[in-house]
Amino acid sequence: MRSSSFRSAAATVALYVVLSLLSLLFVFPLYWLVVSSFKPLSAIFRIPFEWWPVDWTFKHYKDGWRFMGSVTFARVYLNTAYVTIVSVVATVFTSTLVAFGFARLRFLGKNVLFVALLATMMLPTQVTLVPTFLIFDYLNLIDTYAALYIGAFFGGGAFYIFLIRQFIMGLPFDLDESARLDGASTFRIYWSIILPLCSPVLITIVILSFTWTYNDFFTPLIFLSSIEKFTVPVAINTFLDEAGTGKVGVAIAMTTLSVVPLLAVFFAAQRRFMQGIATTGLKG
Amino acid sequence: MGKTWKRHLEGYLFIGPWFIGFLVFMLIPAGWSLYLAFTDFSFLKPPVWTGTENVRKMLDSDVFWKSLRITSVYALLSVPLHLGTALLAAMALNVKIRGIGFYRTVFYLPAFVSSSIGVAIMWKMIFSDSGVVNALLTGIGLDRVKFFNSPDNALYTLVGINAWVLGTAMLIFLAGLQQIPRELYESAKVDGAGAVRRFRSITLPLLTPVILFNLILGIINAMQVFTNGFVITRGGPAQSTYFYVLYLYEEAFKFFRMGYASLLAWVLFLIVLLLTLLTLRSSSAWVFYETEMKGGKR
Repeated sequence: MRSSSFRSAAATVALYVVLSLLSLLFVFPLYWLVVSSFKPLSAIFRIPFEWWPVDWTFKHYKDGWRFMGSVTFARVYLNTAYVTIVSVVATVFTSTLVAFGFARLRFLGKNVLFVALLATMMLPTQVTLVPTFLIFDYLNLIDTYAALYIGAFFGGGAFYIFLIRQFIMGLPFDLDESARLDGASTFRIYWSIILPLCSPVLITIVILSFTWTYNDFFTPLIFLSSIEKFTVPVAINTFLDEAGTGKVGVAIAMTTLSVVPLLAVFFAAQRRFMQGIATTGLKG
Repeated sequence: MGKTWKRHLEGYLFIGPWFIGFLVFMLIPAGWSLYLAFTDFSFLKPPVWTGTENVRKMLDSDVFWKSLRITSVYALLSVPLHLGTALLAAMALNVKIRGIGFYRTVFYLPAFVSSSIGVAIMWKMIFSDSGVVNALLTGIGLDRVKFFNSPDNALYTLVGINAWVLGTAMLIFLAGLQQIPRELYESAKVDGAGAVRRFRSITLPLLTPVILFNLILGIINAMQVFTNGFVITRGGPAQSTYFYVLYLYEEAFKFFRMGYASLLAWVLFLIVLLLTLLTLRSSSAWVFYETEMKGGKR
């Protein structure tokens, strides 16, 4: 008995060691990014590796923040914040409307349309890319912020609608019925009864659409051309274009800065968010 | 009569936002690009119908086959590596010990930040010729490796760094593992089954539905790989990481051969669709659903 409990204690210690070593592997690249952003250029690629900066410098942050011409990174972050906030709010509103329709209302052709919705998840964005470019050109949306957030006003993405619909399907129908007997309109049932109950799944949607919009590189790469409208990902990409080795430090510093909002959101909501992700796989 | 009419209308109003978007940004563009696929179109002049000319050009193009091969090799290596490491990580984290939540968070973290192109830039520098990995390698007396600067290594380096973002697949596996009843393991232990046996006879079969889900997601993502090839290697060196979508992107927005690019997009869709259907097809042979265990009761 004693030897077996000793063995299980040893196994637990071994597990802690293994998990901690792996954790280092997961965290090290981010650690490298942060420390390198404070090192002078000559020290970033020094061999052997400096685990802690010998000479601290904030030069990369100052240079990078200046960005290009009259456009500073403050502008880039404002652009990104604007696009992201509009996207997230519009996504939450329209995706819940649509999901409620599919989950609770009965209308002709509902099943066919729902299958169509699921099928769009399979369609790679590349297929619609060229005509979408032409449509945006026709609507004068090229080089506007609207090109980046317009999709959010149309349900925000099939995957979000699907997730919320699954969640609403799990809410008891009696809620709707009794409200309807009290004379509530359908919109009122959606707004005052179902939507407040959706908050667990909405946290997942907010975080997913936030990270997606914040990180979206492909859409602004294609639709934006004026530097004063650039969002964070395309702005960082320019450091690599013009780079040469001189801008390496600047690229590292601005990259570090760009990860900070992501980390902030992650740590603020990680517990509930991770639960949300984990359950998506089981319902599919 | 009037009432049912009103009910249908209400339904359409609710799903309206999606439906308009579906028409304007999905169905019409998809049909349009199918038409463009058979035209010569450079954006400046109206499209000219050329029949199967684009198809012939594509089949004759070395770059097409090359990019398809590179993307397939990438998918073939990165999907199993990604799922394998995600499963191992999930199993290591599927224990009840103090502080396990901390480790789960740390393991998941990379997946959360990975879609940022900043992370691609980070990898570019970490694995550069004088980057920190080479600094550590020379520190322990090994030779430097040209991770991205050699056509022989670049693709494999991209496969390797993709394993860092195992978090999403790992969480889905973890949720699947937690659904497996503990009693199954207990009784198997009583019957004298070892750890490997328990893994092969309980864990793996009961996890197959989740594996299928992760596998399909993995294939779809891997075939559409773009950002790392674009940001880190720009398709090189010597086109060794010239992924299919990179090829498509350059045809459309660098050379403005938009008709040809539309054909490439449709071919990609058909390939992904075929792979998904084949995977689903094969699933009846290896995916185990719990209803079967209950004698097909339903």
